[in-house]
Amino acid sequence: MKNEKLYDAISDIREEFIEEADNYKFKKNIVPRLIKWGSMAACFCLVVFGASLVMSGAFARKGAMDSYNGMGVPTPTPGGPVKTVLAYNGALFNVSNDLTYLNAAGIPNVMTSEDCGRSMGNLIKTENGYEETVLDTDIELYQYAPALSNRAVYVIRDGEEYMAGLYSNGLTVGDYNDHSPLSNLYRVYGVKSEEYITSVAEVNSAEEGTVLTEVVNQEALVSFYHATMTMESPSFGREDFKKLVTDEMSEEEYQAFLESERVIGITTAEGLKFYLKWYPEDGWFYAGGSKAYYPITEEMQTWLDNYIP
Amino acid sequence: MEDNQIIELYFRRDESALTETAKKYGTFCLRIAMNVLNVKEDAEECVNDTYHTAWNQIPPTKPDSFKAFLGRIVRNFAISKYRALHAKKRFNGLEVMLSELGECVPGAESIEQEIEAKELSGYINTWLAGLKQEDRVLFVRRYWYGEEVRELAKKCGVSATQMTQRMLRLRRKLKSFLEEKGVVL
Repeated sequence: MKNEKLYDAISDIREEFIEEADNYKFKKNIVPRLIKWGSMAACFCLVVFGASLVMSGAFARKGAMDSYNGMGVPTPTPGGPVKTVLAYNGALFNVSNDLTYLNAAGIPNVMTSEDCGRSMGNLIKTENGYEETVLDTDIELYQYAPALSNRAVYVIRDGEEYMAGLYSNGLTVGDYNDHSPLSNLYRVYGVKSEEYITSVAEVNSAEEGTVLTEVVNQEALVSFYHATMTMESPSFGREDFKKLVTDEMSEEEYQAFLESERVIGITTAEGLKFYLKWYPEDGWFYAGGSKAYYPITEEMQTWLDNYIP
Repeated sequence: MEDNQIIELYFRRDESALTETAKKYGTFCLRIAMNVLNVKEDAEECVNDTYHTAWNQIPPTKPDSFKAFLGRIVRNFAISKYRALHAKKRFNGLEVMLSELGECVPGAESIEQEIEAKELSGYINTWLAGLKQEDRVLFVRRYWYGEEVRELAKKCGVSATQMTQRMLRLRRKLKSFLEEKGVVL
């Protein structure tokens, strides 16, 4: 075909043009974007304010449970693996380039320019973390190229430094009780159906995700996926959960509840990992990524009895 | 690791050359293959074939630009794979690009002789060299790297419609340039 011939000829263009195109930094057409974004500015302030409230722990009552995020490690603390956060697209992401932390999320290497997928625009850094901006800054947000079908990971380039933005929770607006169903977590991590889960394992959270028991059998993974679907509703935000469950506990019972915690790690087809906290004595799962408690259904309990000793 | 150090590994027949290549350019190659094929497994196969080809070609080849060298190989593999599988499946990425490029094909009345691909590349290089830098980058990103119009629009901060119009103008420019040169395909 003639157009294919043309296409083949384009294959042989000069190497300098190929390099130039890959290295070129576009100058954005700012004016139309300013108009578009101006109307969103107030909303975004609210987003950041909501995020800062959640992060500051202002709502926390019994902090042990609240300090965890979707990856099973604490949110930013000085000297910790998470440097700061990114507020993007209605969600919070922990910004880190700590290899241990990234490995726990299934990311094999620290971020480099080679991990950058399509550019999502510029960022600015404020005391609340990274935020979107229409200004032409030297901080850019990219999709994470090795994981093509999910929104769990982004790459942030700040000058010469590349960092990962890992999904922290699905909510930046609203109150302490906000939460979302398990299917939201699946969506963010690119789990479109049972085929997208490749491993379910109990991990030792205290030892950076050391695997205690791993299930990789296809049939078992399919039944796991369907069992989690039975937990889609009801789900409880942390405030509701406190009222319903932990407020009724004595201090000893509450300590026992915390100590009973086990962690289930789910690995996706793209190699990413996220975690559910499991409170076996009381029959709950907690997902940091959706900030929700899910009562364990009969079907889920049967699955756990069969596969996780 | 710097490109010349990686190339040195190839020359020494050190197999860590492949690991270093994958580490530095694996994502770059995968992105190009994915833009054509849209199927991760097929794209990964092309990337692996690219490493083997690099191993076989270096030495004696010593690429000036290692990145463009790999990019060209993976792109060719992806196109071959696309063509091999095309009868069975549909891949939007390359199909859309090909249909767009059809608009650049000069009309038969302007033609004196059929042209070889290599000669055609020479004309395209001349045409590209005469473009404004951003236009050239956009054309190469679209038709060499296979990036989608809406991605390019986002990068430039314009709407997809505006970008579509800009690409259309570029294709028309190429068409008239080729017609002026008496090119027939």
